[in-house]
Amino acid sequence: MTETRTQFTCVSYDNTDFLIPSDYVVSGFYIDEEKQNAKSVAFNGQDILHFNISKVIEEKFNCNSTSESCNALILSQKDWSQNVFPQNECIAISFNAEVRGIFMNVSQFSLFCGVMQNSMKKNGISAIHFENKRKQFLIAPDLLMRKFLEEGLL
Amino acid sequence: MNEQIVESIQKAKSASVSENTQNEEKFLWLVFSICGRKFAVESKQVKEIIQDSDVYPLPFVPSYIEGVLNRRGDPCAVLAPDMLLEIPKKENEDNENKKKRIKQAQVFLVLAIPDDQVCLHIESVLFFKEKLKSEFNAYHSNEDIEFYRGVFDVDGEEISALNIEAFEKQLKKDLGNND
Repeated sequence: MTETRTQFTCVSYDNTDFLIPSDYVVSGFYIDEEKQNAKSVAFNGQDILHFNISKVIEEKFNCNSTSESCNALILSQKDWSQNVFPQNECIAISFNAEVRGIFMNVSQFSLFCGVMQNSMKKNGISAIHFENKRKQFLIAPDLLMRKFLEEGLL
Repeated sequence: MNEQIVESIQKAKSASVSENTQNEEKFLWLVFSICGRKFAVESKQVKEIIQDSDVYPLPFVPSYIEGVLNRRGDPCAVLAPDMLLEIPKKENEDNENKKKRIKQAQVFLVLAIPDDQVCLHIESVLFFKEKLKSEFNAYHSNEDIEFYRGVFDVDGEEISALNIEAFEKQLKKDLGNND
């Protein structure tokens, strides 16, 4: 039986990829340098809450950005397990990193070991895949954003 | 008079001592070093020894978790035992040098914890040593988490045996899985 390949949006840093299931991603676009740290971005005629999480990602995951330009992803909150921003249908998160679409078999991912599994999952890191010297994290952006907010990182 | 009886008693005693020694439980210890100090774990509590593997740091974990290593595709949590055991740094060694030295020593003991993947980042594996149970001086502690299990002697040097269950308990406590 052939396993179905799932589409992910891949955000690439120097030694780490962050994969978000593409179903959650409504759109993606480039943000001008001067608007990188704006609290909102315009999308479809609406102002959408925006967070540039690149610095936090670099600091917390021990990686470096690969790009000076800033790529924003518009994420739909309707499928999120916990609504972190209840007033907003969508939020924008941006990264100083390359963003592309990739297909992967979910069986390529490994879950964290027993003791760490719940804790990592709760903090938005659902699984990991080792690719040569790189690591790829399957992330749940809702939970990861909630953790960043809880820790006062944003 | 009675010499024969005394001899028989002595023989019987000596046979009994020898039999007891033969039947006495033995431990096979794996002796290793951390920060220049010797420690041991029971060899059956070690699944594997891994050398020269990269450690990938993780966010939102206690500082004694260095990250994970790639164990045949599966993430294995890497613990820094020196932080939990509060091993003092070597003389004239600052924290930066200690970090460097530990980073250079890429030897990991994968612990035999059921349904889990946890390893200790050590300096080097030294030797294996078989010891009788009577040669092991077990600690009796009332602490909830006691990292030391006891001590034994090798050539006049006292070696501390670590309690593997304590590392598992500490992880459960800190990562909120204390069920």
